This record gives sequence, structure tokens and C-alpha cells, in this order.
Amino acid sequence: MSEDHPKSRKLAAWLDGELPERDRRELTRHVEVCLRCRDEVRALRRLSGTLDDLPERAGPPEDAWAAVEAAIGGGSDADEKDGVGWRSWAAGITATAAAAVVMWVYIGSGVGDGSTPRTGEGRFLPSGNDASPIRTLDRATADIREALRRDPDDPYLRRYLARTRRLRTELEQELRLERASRSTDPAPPGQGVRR
Amino acid sequence: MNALTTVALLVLQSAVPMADTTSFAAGAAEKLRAHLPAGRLVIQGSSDADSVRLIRSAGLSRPRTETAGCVFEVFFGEDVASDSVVVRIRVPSSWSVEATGGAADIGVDSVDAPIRATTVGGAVRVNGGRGRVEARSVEGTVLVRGARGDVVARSTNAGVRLEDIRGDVVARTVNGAVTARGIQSSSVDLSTYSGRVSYAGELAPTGHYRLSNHTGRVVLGVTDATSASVTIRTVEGRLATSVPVADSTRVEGRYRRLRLGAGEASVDLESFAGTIEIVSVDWATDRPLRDDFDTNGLSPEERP
Repeated sequence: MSEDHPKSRKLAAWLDGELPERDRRELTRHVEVCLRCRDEVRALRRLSGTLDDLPERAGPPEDAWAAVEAAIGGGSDADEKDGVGWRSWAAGITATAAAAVVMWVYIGSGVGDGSTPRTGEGRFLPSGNDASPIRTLDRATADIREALRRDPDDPYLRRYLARTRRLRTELEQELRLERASRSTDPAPPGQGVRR
Repeated sequence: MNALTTVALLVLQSAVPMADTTSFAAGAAEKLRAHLPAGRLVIQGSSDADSVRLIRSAGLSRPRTETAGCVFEVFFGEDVASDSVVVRIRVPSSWSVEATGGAADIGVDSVDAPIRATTVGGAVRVNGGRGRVEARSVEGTVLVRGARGDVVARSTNAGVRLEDIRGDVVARTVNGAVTARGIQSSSVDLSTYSGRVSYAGELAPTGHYRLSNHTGRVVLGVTDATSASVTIRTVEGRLATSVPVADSTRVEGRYRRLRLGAGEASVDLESFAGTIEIVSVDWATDRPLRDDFDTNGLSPEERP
């Protein structure tokens, strides 16, 4: 993702088609890949009242959305089963540390609460809240839901939403694991050996 | 020896990195399990080795070690907190390896058995390997190169790069690029949410390949010999192809199918809001696919 974000004024001009062709192309490419600017574009569109190709009128009733949720809620792709497991003493330690990072990110995203864990000489610090994986997944989820409101029966969107929610749940599980094991000292060698 | 010479030698000695070396009998062990909380953990397989040799930064306390069944364990406690710590462990190349680190970088070289390397704040680099490779980092880059077995490579907040792999591949991250080059596999699954996904490698006639992201570019490198049926799925994104395609068919509005060559391999390209590109690859330079990789966490000599 680009580190240089255009100012709101430029984004507004882009929305209004007031930029020269070359600038327009550049900015289009940037907005395609930059979640932060995409968010800002949405906000600008709402402000100006020009949004949305997302017609409120076309949205299904709330109970229809519940049906979509129910349909995708229990999905499990076989391809998700190949993850790295969290067994053994050593893996447990890593899980704790991983969860600590996830917790930091989680808190950084404004979702969680509690005190900030040790940051290990700054190495755990993400580059900023915009880089939070939780936040990225939440933004993606919002995008997908928006699209599903327009097209509730789209199988790709359903699968994609299920996958995204599952991934977010995995991150949250790591957080819970960290909370559970925060006061537990690592087991010495041998005590967690798989034989 | 005069005083000046003595001082000079002391200064010189303090400037030269020192290390402590310890050797252990391998016994019945067939697997190494090692943990280092911070710094750099490098595990080297050697076909000549019949023992375990551990080299650690001078001053670093000895790890706890134990052989339990077929597992030889090396455990550095949480008091190790410096990024400058380096631990090198040489093991027989036939041993499998399970390495973990809190903030540590992990490197595994020339191990001919299954490898599992997991860290949080550091990078993971695996070179070679003839068994299954599982490489995982939360904050750091994951690089797997030259593996001859199935690979599962995951990060959360950085990029994943795979090179010269022969085996089934799964590579995932949330924030960061996923790059795969020189792959010979019949099953490839590459995905990220925010970042570029690119693949240049074999498309086996019966193989299945999936490249997916939410935003950013999805880039498939092809040659004149490529034979694949490609399904394009995007919601707010677009398709850009610089190669001739046949049977471009729009399916259900935003989805599209197209054929490259005889259409043998199955390829899914998905990007919610990014650009999906099919580009002709110059294998000599890989120009379209070389850039754009996040090297966070890799030492300069490890960077592509």
C-alpha cells in the first residue's frame, strides 16, 4: 500500500471528474489498493450525497440478511485445515506471543480493551493502526456485506464472507488463548513432548 | 607486551563477535525442537553431522536441553531479549525440525525432513527441504525457497514469498504481498487481503490454481505454452490482459471465463476491488513479477 495518501480535496476532485487524465489514472490506481483512501472516498461520497451505486431501495429486508448470515455461518472450507497447529510447549509459547501481538493489534484497532502488552523493544509494533489485520478484515467484511446486500445469492460473495469471518475468528481465538495463558509460565523441555 | 599493546588487544577482542560452542550426542533423536525468544535462530542440516552442535552468542546463558524419546530439545528462556543474539544449531539433515521464536527471526537450511518454523515478531526463511514445510510469522516476512515438498506459508502482517518449490502450495497473509515464482505444483492457493498476489510458474494440465485478494493487483504470469481455463471473479475491480485469450465469456454479470491455449489447467483469479492481470512473462527476467515484495524482517543477504 502506498504511504503517500492524497488529500481529501484531491480525492473530491477525482470523484467529481475534475482531475487531468494522467492524475485521474494515478489516483484510480492508488484508490484501488489503498483501504484508507477507499474509506475516505466512501465518506466523501456520502457527504456529497452522490453515493451510491448501492441503492438503499434495492436492499433486501433485514430478515433476508439474517437468512444470508445463517446460510454462510457454519461453512468450513477444507483448505482452512492446513494451518499451523498450536500444540506442544514450544508452540504454546509462540501462541502466547502471537496472541500478545494480536491483542496489541486488536487493541490498536480500537476493538479490544485492556492494557497494552510488552512490545519487545518495539519490534512488535505495527506500522500504524491502518496496518491492523483486524481492521483490514473488518473493512473487507463491510465491503462484502455491502455487495451481498445487492446480490444476496452470490455464491462467491457468500464463500468469501465466510472465509473472512473465519479468519477474523482465528485471530480472536489467539487473543483468548493469550488471555488464558497470560499467567502461566512456559513448561520446561520434555513436559510437552509429543511421543 | 607493553601496556599499549595490551589495551589494543583488549579493544580488538571486544570488537570481534565471540561465540560459545557446545556439542551434544545425537543418541536416538530424529527431531530437533528449538525455541529462542528473540534474536536470530538458524538451524542448519548437515549430511555429515552425527551430533548436534550449538553455537550461541558469547555471554548467552546455556539453554536447557533434553532428549525425550526421539526429540532433542533446545530451549532458551524468556530472559533472552536482545535482537542481536544469534544461535546456530547444526543437526543431521535427516532430522525433522520444529523451531519457534517470540520475536526471533528463524532460518532453516538444508533439512531433508519436515520443517515447522513459527515466530511472531521476526521473519521466517526456509531454504531447501525435502519434507513438508510449515512456515508462519505474525508480523514478519515468510520466505520459502527450494523446497521439495508441500509448503504452507503464512504471515498476518507482512509478505510471503515462495521460490523454486516443487509441491503443493498454500500461502496466505492479511496485509502484505504474496509472491510465488518458479513453482512446479498441481495445487496452488495464494491469498491476501491487502496487497498484491502474483504467480509465475507451471500450470499443470490437471492442476488447480487460485489467486485471491481484496484490494491490490492479482497477477498471473503466462507464456505462449500456457494452457488454462481461467475464471475471473471481481466485484468492484477490473480485468486487464496483455495476452490473447479465447472464449471470453461473461458469466452471471461480474464473472468471466476465458481460455488460454487448450484450456487444461484450472485457474481462479479473484479480487474484490483490485485489478486482475494476465501478463506475458519473460522467464529470463521475470520482469513483470519481480518488484513489490515487502522485505520487512529479512536481512540484506536474504532479500530477493
